[in-house]
Amino acid sequence: MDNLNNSNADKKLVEIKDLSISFFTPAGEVKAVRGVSWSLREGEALGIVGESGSGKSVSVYALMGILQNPGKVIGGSITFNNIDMLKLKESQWRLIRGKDMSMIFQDPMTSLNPVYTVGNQIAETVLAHTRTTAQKANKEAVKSLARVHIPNPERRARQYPFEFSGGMRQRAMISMALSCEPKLLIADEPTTALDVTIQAQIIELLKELKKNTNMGIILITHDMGIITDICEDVIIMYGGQVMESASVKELYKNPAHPYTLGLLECLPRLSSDSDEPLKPIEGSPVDLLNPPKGCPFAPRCFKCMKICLNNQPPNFEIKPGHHSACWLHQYQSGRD
Amino acid sequence: MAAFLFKRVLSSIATLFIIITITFFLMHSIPGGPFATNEKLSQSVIKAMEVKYGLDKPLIQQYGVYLKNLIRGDLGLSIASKEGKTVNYIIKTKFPVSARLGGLAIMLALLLGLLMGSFAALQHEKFVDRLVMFISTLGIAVPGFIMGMLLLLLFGVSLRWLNFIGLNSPLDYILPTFTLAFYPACFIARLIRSSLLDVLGQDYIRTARAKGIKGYSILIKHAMRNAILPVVTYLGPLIAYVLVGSFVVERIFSIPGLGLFFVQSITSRDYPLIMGTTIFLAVLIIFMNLVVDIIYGIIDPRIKVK
Ligand SMILES: Nc1ncnc2c1ncn2[C@@H]1O[C@H](COP(=O)(O)OP(=O)(O)O)[C@@H](O)[C@H]1O
Ligand code: SF4
Ligand SMILES: [Mg+2]
Repeated sequence: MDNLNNSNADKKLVEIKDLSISFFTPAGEVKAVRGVSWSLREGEALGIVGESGSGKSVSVYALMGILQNPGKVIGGSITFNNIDMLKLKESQWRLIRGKDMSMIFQDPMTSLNPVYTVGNQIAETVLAHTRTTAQKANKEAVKSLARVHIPNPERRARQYPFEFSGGMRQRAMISMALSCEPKLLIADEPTTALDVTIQAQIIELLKELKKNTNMGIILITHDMGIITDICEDVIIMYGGQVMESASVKELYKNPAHPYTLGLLECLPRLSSDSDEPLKPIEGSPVDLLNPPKGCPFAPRCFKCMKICLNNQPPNFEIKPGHHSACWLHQYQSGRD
Repeated sequence: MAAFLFKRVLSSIATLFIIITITFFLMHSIPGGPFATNEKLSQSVIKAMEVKYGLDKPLIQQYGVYLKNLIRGDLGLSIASKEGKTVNYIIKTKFPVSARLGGLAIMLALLLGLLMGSFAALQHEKFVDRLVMFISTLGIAVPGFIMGMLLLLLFGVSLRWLNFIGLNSPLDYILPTFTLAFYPACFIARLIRSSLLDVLGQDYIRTARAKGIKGYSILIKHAMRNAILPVVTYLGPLIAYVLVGSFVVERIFSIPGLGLFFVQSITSRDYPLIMGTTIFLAVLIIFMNLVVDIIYGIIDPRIKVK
């Protein structure tokens, strides 16, 4: 019995392996995601952190199957709920999308259709995935709104998005995403567009949902603070690749990758000359049309070595479950 | 809604009054008069006629009399018409001809325009898109009357497929309707193409996809209802265009519609007919614009509160 529970707890809800995504633009192939791997266990939350343009959204769009032309998955695999998603036809994928996996977006002001009532838009999701009447779907929409603590849900369901504040709209988006009780909720920078106080409320709501359901959560953000509140694990992305991945606790205790250190704005602890304080990460993001053949972070890395410029660093496992893609660990592991 | 309508009706009346006043004095400032062109009439006959139609009185007094009759709904007698027909009668009998042609043209323009533009947007930067852009550029660049002449020469004179005088059989509607509809169809195609492209890139379309909504449902329910708004805005100018266009088209294809009479009334200085048709067309355009605004409010709920 115990064994069974343990194996269940370790069961992977999402597994991404060696995923590569490119946009085929007139200017050339934009290699937005290059060989990314990560996984999410059932009932847990994974944070994806990285500056904008690092491929966070594009990765989860691929997972949802909503990558838009000219974007294409050009390699790797996506497994969700034991289904090999890249083998699905669009019509099969559509049945999973919005039902077993759902998503909320960065800007709640533009993510709802302005010409339909909020209730209508939630009921639409219910109707797309369950055999029910429009009337019952509407009732379900009201219940959904109540679940995310929107006061007067009956009246609110009949209102249009423009009658909602930003925070209320994001709540409505969340309630829409939850309306079919998904196994996975993807939140792509759900608080970035909101006021600070509203941000805290939305985070509080996500925490509560995590506690009360067995839903897996993927939380994309560039705010490290939010991650600690909700997530078990975190991956750090840069230039379309994973720089570092670990449990949140481990990452805070022993951040290993120079880019992570920059994000955490702490002093460098990896090398001997650690008296040198870290400057804010300067420089421009990676040119994804012509990604460097070495480490993508090299042009901005204060630890950059010769080897970094010409060779991709492998993904070193510096501790069980803690990986970092940086050449520094080559020498560090020798020293250990 | 009631307050909105009341406000709109008041402002419409004001607009109409200004149009009437300007037309009245402008019309009288054109050299010549209704009897000047007719050389056979002697001076004394002209005098007598002018007295009959009240044209001997000072202009401002004529204006007052005209307004008084107008309020009673009386647009006066047409001077040029030999049988002494009233302007009301001419409008009542000739407008249906123009309305049928105009209505058909508007429907054809919408149908053609929406289809061409939507397909172009969905096939963005592919062959269909380029073809539609080519046709619509042509349609916008070539003036309607040239288009009409070319069609008439090709299908009427050279090929002899279609009759090109009057509207005596349903087939006769093809050439004038197409002539009238082509420019607005091209304009609508470009409008809906660019607005659909814009809407398809909006966040709420991505949301709809993430919800697992079917493709055609996303297109019709989520995209089209938003994308159609610029086209609805264009309906007002479209109606005005078709009205003005019908003046030319009725001439080219010898169609006895109101447009033909309107043009003739100006050359013959038929003052009551000029005034009557102008007022009628102005009321029509103002009314249609009101209808369009109401439709807009129904499609886009954000408008109602503003
Ligand atoms: N429609 C597109 N066309 C071309 N390139 C795109 C498109 N969408 C995204 N990209 C590329 O993918 C990269 C990653 O984008 P994204 O995943 O949105 O970053 P973020 O980490 O900020 O969510 C961008 O820097 C951009 O170069
Ligand atoms: S591999 Fe080299 S350039 Fe890249 S992060 Fe490590 S030290 Fe910096
Ligand atoms: Mg993003």
